[in-house]
Amino acid sequence: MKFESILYVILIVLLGFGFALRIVSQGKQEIPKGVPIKLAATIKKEPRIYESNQVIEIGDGKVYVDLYPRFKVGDKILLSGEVDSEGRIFRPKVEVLGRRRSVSSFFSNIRLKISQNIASYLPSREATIVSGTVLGVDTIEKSFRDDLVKTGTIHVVVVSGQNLMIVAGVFLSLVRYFGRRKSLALACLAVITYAFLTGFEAPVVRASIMVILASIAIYFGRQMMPIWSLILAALLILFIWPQAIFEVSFQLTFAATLGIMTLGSWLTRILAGPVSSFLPAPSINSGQAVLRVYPERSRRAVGNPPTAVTRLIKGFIADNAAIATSAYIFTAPIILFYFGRISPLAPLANILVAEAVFPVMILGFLVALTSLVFSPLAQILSYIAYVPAYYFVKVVGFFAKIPIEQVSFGKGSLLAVLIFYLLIFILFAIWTKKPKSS
Amino acid sequence: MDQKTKIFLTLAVIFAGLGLLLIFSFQNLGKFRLIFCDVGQGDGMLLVSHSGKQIIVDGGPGTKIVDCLSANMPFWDRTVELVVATHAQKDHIEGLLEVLARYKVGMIAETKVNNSSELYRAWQKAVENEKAKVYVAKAGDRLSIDAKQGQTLSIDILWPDAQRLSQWQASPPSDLNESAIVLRVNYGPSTSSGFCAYLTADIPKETLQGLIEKECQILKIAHHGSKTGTNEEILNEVRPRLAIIQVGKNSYGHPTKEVLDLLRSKAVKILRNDTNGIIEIKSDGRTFGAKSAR
Repeated sequence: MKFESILYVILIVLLGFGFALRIVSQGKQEIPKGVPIKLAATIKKEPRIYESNQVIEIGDGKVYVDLYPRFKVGDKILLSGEVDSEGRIFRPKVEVLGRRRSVSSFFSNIRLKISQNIASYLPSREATIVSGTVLGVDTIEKSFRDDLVKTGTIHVVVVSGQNLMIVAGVFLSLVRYFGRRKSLALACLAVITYAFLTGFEAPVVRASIMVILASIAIYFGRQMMPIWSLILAALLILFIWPQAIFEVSFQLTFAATLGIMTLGSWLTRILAGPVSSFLPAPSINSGQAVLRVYPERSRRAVGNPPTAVTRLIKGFIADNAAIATSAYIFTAPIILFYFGRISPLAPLANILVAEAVFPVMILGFLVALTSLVFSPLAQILSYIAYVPAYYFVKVVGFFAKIPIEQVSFGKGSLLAVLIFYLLIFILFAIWTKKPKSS
Repeated sequence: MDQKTKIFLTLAVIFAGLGLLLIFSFQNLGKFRLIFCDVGQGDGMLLVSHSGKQIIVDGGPGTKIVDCLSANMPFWDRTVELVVATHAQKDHIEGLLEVLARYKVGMIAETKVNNSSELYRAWQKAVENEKAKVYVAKAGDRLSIDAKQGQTLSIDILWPDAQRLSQWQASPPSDLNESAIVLRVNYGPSTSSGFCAYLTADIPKETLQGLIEKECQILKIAHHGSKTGTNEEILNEVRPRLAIIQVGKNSYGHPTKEVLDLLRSKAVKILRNDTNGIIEIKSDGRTFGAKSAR
C-alpha cells in the first residue's frame, strides 16, 4: 500500500508537470477573420446536422451550409465566402474536389451507415434514442432536443462517460462465465469498440481511457484506490489533450464518473440496505462474488423464487436510481455553469429513463452490428428495441410537458460551482463518516 | 430465479409491450386521415387511407416532416406508398429527401421540371437511389389508391397539363410555382360523391380558378396564404367548409390580410399550422372532423 501510494504521488506530480508544460505549447489551426476567403480543406469532423443547415468545422472556423447536399468526413472541399469576426462562414460556395480515404473517414462512414440504417427501421424519436445510446448523435430534431434538455436527459443520447460505464459494466458482469481476467479484457475491448463506433473523437477516447482505468480500479477493489486512479486517468488525458480541461464533455464525464464512484457506491449500499435485510446472510468468501463496474448489485445469494423476483426488481431499480442520481448531482454544477438552467424534475426523469438505457443499449448494439450484415434480422431486433425506446420517449415527453419552472441561476459563476461542490463534499463526508464507537 | 428464467421473463415483458403497441396502432384504421404537418414555412401533408396506405404530399423545409410521420404512422410500417413532390422548391421538397432516406417509397410523383439548384440535384440523386417507380404527373390522370370495404380513395391530377409540362421540362417557367402539381383527393363510396379536398401547392390563383370542377369540403390555401394564390371566384366554386393554411414564421407576410378577410367574409373556418400546430382531418367518406394540436 505504501509503495503504491508513493507511485501514485510520483505519477501525479509528473503528469501534472507535463500537463502544465503542454498547455503552454498548444495551438489551433486558425483561419483569417473578417475577410473574404477562398480555402481548400478536408473535412475532418462529421458535419453537424441541424433543423435547417449543416455546420462543418474547418480549423477554428465554422461553415454554415444548406442541408443538401450532405458532406462527409474525408471530403476535400473548396470554399469561397466571407468569414465574419467570429470565424463563421455563412452559405459559402462549396465545391467538392474529391475524397481522401483515411481510417477516420472509414469509421465515420460505418457510423453514418449504421445511423442511417437505424433511422430506416424505427420512428424518428425512437431511432434517435437507439442510435444515440449506441453511437452518440448530433442530429436531434429540435423539439425533441428541447424536451431532452428540459428533462436533463440529453446526456444519454450524446456520447458520455456514463454510456461507456454501462458498456463496461455489462461485460464485467459476465465474470461468472468467463472469470475475472477475461471479462475485464472483454470490457476493455467493448469500450474500445464503442469508441471506434462513436467516431474516435477526442472526447470519446478520453472518456474511454477514464472508464477503462476506473473499471480496473473498481474491479481490483480498495488496493487500487479508485478515486486516485480516476484522478490519474484524468491527468493522463490532460497530458495528451491539454485543451480538454476547458471542454464541457470532459468535465461532465469526470464529474459523472466521480459521482458514480463515490456517492453512487454509497447510495447503492444505502438503498440495498432495506433490500438485503430480506436476504439470507451472504456466504462469506464464496469466491463467486460478482464484481461490477457499478457497486455490486445486491442479488448475489439465491433465495426462494418469490423473494428472488422482488429482490431482483428492487436491486435493479435501486442500482439504476443510485447511479442516475449520483451522476446527476455531480454534473449539476457544471450544467448550471454552462447552460444556467436545470429542471428540478430532472433527477426523477433520469431515474425513470435509466431503467430503459440498459436494454436499449444492448439491443441497439445488436441492431447496429446486424444492420451491417443482415438487414432483415436487424429490423426484427429493432422492433424489440422499440419497446424500451418508446418508454424512454414517453417518459421524456411526459416530464417535458409538466409546466414547471426551470431553476436558472449561476450561469458562468465559478464561485457558485465551487460552493456547490464544497457543499456536496461536506454533506458526503458527514453522511459517510463512521461512528467512533465502531 | 436462474438466469434463463430472468431472460425469458424479460423477453416476455418486451413482447407483451410490443403486442399492446400493435393494438394501439391499429385503432386508427377504418377512416381516411388527412394530416397537415407543422413543418414551418412550407407544405407537408400525410394522407392515410382507411386500410393504412400512406401518401406524402410535399415535405416542407428542414426535417420536421419526419417527426410528424413517426407520430402518425404505426412503428412497424416503414413503407410509404406514394410521395408527391409538387414542385422543386426548398419549402416543398427538402424534407422529402429525409423521407426517402428513412422510408421505403413505392412511387414518386413529380413534374421533372428542373430547378437548377444544388438541392434539386441532391433530390434527383436521392430519387435515383430509392429505385422507386417514378410517375410524371399530368392533368387528367386519376390515381386509385385504395378500394376496400366499399370505400374508395383516389387522387385526381388537375395540373399541370401535358402540353405545358413538356414545354416546362425543356425550359422551366420563370416562376416555378406555375408548374406545381395540383391535386384533388376523393374519398367515399364512389369517386363522384363523398369527401374531397383540394391540395393546391403554390399555384397562382389565375391557374387554380380554371381547375375547379366541383365543390369540396376542404381547401388547402395556395402558396401559404399569399394573395397570389386565392381569390373570390375560387372560394365561390369550391365552397369549402374548412380552409387550411400551411404557414410558419416568415418574412413575406404570409398569410396575407386579404386572403384571411376573404375567407372570413365567406364564413370559412380557418386552421393554420403556425397557430394551430399539426392539423388532422378524419373522414368516414361522408362527414369529416378536424382537430388540431393547439
